[in-house]
Amino acid sequence: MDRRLMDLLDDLKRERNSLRRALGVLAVLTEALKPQGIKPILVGGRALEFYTLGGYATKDIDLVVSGRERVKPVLEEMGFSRRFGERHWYHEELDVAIEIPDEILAGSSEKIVTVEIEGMEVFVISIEDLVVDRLAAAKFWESRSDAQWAAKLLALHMNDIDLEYLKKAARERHVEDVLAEALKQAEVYIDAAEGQELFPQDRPFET
Amino acid sequence: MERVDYDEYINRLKKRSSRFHISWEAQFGKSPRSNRPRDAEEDIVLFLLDRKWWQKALADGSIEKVVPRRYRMKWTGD
Repeated sequence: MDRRLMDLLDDLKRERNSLRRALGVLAVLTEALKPQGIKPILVGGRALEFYTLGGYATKDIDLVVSGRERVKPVLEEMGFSRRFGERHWYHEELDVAIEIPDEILAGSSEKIVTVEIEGMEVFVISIEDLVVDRLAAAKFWESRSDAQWAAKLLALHMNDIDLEYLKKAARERHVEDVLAEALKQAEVYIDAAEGQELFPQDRPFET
Repeated sequence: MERVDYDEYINRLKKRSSRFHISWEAQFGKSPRSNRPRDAEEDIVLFLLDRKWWQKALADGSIEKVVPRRYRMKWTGD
């Protein structure tokens, strides 16, 4: 791995914001894997943390990587280690833990969101596929908090969502019923936000 | 009275907590997600905060929407 990437990793050791540090590390990893044509995709809780900018907080970076064995030497070069029997790669100085639970993305690679950081890229599962993932947890694991997160994602990013694709993906995962409820809840959030914007303290220059 | 360096203390605690988390998941698997939803009022307030963070981040340039499905983020908070 080249000197520039190692210097960037060193910079990140001083970053106090956990989301920013995690995305920075992922940008370096993605850049280091580029010559091999490997494209790690951020999924799970950390993707949700990105879309809520820290509203949801998690400890891990969950990645989907096709050919995950080839990531091992790069992670080692970056200073990550994995103890016997553990699934996470951990970097003590960065306090970042990475897990690669899957090789195949549960969702569309065309819909992936790209985040540019310092001329590098981080690839994140689409909002639509993340919503469907949370809805599946809500329905099949009876996780009501996941239903709330799905609705929040919808409300926060409603203008960026491909509703047709979302509905199709929800049908394929048999969660169209919980999607309908989440869309209703998203309207409640949006109404609350619009109501709040009418408070005078938010618009000091209006009479 | 013992004096504690806050940053050093938090750093040490976070690393210990991460190690514990990793060992726990290795032994017992992923922790089940919480199925305890937040109460409606608290939930709305937290959503409004999330929305404000997005608006603030877009306004101060810490995150920028380049084109649909493409964002640009500042490298560090400095």
